[in-house]
Amino acid sequence: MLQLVVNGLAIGAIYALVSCGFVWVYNAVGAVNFAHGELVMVGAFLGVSGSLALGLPPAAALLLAVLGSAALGWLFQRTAYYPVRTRPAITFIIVSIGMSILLRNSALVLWGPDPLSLPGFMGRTMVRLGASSISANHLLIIGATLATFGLQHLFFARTRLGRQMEATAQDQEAARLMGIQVSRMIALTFVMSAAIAALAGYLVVPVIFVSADMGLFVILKAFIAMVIGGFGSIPGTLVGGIFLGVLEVLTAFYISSHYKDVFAFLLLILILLLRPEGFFGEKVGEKA
Amino acid sequence: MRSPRLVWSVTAALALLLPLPFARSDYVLFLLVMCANHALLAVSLNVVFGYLGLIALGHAGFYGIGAYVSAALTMWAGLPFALALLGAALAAALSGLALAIPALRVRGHYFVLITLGFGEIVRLILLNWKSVTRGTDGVVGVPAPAFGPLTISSKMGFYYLTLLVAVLAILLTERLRRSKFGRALIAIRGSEMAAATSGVDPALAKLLAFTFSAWIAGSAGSLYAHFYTFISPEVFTIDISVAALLMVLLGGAGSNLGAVVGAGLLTLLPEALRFLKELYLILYGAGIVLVMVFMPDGLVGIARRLGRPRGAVRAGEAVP
Amino acid sequence: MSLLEAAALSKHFGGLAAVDRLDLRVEAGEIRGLIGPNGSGKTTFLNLVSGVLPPSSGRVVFRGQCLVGRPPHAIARMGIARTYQVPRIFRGLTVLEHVLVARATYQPLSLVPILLGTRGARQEEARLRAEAEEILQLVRLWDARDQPGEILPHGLKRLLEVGRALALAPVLVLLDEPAAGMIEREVLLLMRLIQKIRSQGATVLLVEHNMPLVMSVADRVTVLDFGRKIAEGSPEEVQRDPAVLEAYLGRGDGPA
Ligand SMILES: Nc1ncnc2c1ncn2[C@@H]1O[C@H](COP(=O)(O)OP(=O)(O)OP(=O)(O)O)[C@@H](O)[C@H]1O
Ligand SMILES: [Mg+2]
Repeated sequence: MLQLVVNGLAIGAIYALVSCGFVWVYNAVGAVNFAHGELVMVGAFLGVSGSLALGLPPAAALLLAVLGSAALGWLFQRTAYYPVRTRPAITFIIVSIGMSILLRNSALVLWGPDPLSLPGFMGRTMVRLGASSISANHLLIIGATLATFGLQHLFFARTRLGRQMEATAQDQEAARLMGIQVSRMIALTFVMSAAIAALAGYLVVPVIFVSADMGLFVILKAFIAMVIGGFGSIPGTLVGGIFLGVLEVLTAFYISSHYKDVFAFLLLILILLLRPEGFFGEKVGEKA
Repeated sequence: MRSPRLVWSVTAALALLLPLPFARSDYVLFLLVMCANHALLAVSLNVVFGYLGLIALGHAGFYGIGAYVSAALTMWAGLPFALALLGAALAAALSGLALAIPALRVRGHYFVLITLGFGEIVRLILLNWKSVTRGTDGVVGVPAPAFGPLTISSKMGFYYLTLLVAVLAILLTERLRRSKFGRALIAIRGSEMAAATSGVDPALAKLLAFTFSAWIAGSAGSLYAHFYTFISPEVFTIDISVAALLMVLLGGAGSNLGAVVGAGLLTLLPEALRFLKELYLILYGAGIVLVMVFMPDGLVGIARRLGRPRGAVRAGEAVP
Repeated sequence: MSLLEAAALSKHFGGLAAVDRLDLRVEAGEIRGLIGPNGSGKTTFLNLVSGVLPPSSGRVVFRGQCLVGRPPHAIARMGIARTYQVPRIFRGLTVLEHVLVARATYQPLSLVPILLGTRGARQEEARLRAEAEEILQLVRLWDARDQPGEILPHGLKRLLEVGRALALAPVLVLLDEPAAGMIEREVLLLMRLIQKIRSQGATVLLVEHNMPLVMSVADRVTVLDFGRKIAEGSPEEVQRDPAVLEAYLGRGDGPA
């Protein structure tokens, strides 16, 4: 039982990390970035290649994944967001769908169709906790996620740069009037979002297989996590992600693993019907 | 586009004559049937994406429901094709209605993810409910459509059957567009708030549009199943939903003619570019980006711009 | 009983009270001016009445029925029409179609005869068109009826919004700065139009910065500042009111 819950917490932590980067971009540009799942995928592949092809130690492979993805994030906003930034949000959404196809198929060419896996930081180490033994990788994932959420909170609350990014996400016009360089802040948001996606991608490698088409699965989970937590709320993504992860592991164990995703979606629909603002979010509606 | 009636007549005449030179080529006829089938799917999506301005990525779900329900109705219930086609469309419409109720409660951007999720649920159910759908093995031997003693088994016959359904669907969709409901949809796309304060119930209008759209997608699915005679969950993935979206975009969102042209191009293009192999999909993704950046109004938009006298105001430029 | 009655109506945005415990009555048949400095809560008040925004507290009662909690389209159907400070034009619809949107009613089942192309459906469409054309003549946009709404010049967009509002056959018309961006000739047309609306039995609530217009058409004027009512009376009384002068001069954007 404890093992199951820890497993669920770890998976949930990954969902939370993915969801967090997704929400940053959503808040900054007011549109869903459909290619976010592919950024997670690229991060995971970079990490795996770093370990397998270059023989890097785990920490160096992670660094490679994060830096590589951050660079990709910058390129991404330059090509996919910047040219359409003044158009209606729907334009960016579709462009990001195009980018997700482009990235997915490029990965297919570069890394091939076979799923890859890695032992991760902790290998197969197990930690004894009372009567159960728990995978050290899972504990690492949970710890790293909590640390990341803590750091990002400090960054946005305490640093000048973080506050400027926050102000940009709140109201671009007002931020511009305050002398903030809005497009630089948005570019940075994309870079950070890609970096955290890569972190999630690398951490998840020991848990699920990495494949070129994992992006869709990943983004759907991130979305459900966000809805549970509340649209646009960062603490909400943490709670929502973890809730979803635990729920999934439990339904897979007690009901059916084939249908765990179906349950996740039914939960999503239920929440939209009963509490569309999620647990942390604000009321949803058109700005008047 | 001075006279839509003329343009439509020319298009219809072309569509009628198109297969004749290729009567001996099964391959070309096959592609033409698929063009007509995809045109149906694109017209369906155009109601939601073109009129309402909502990105919907769950049409694979309606398409799949239409296909499987139609197969079930003919193979297990023994219904004639015409009834199965109606039943499949109805099943898709009902699932559209059921999906629309929660999906339309959220802001536009999330709508796309919910429809996407819906498509995935349908695929997962088709994949895992093995006792009914036979999972990855798929359903083999979906019968050819029969109307009494007349059985349509040639590709040529199938082309004209699909064309007939597509023409009907386009006729209905054009009627919808020219009616008060169609105007309400465009109004909601422009400003949901102003539409509401003008007495339009946005939720109701969207619900009707979504159900209507699912109805047509379901018919397309039914026709697909009986044409291909084999269906499996692999067909009804996000890829076909995205393809439908791109067909509408490429042709020009909001225009049924554009949807038809877009469907034709995107069905033939992958065949013509087969030599590119996996590079094709990379170019395809890049193509979406380029279309959005450089020709957001699609081919119809370009045709309109060329047809307009020099110096005329370009629609949309005056919008603040 | 007043036609429209707001009682202790408030709307907060975060810490800001855009409308602050406002009591306001509009009587049937009058033309009421609603003025106030920028940001004083006029538009927010219209948003609350038309159901676009829910109030934080308080009530709005229209013909004895509470409006709070009703969706905007239901409020529109009860006979409250409005225009927007920034014209909300439906891109992709012609001028005539804008008016048609507000003129039609939308029972779901009426979609069936439309799709079947029955005579009844065609007759309804023809009737709607005739009525809409009449409204376009009233707002002098008949000549532009087949143009896309989005290419109209600014002033005509506002007239189109007025036409769209009138298509609801409203009891109460809320106009949010209809004269802004209009040229002289259009303002005159607007003035006559407002008087005509009233003479046909509707009540008008006119939010406006164009003081000559307000002062010449309004029967009574209400002045808001920081979401509160600071004065109310005939145009002459209000213009002399020291609190009003203070509110405007204090912020340096006095009545034109
Ligand atoms: N949707 C909103 N969200 C947050 N604040 C708002 C919103 N709408 C209005 N406000 C704020 O409420 C206050 C009142 O605004 P409102 O638009 O009602 O003023 P107004 O009297 O119409 O001004 P103007 O003459 O400039 O149109 C302003 O400070 C405005 O910034
Ligand atoms: Mg205002």
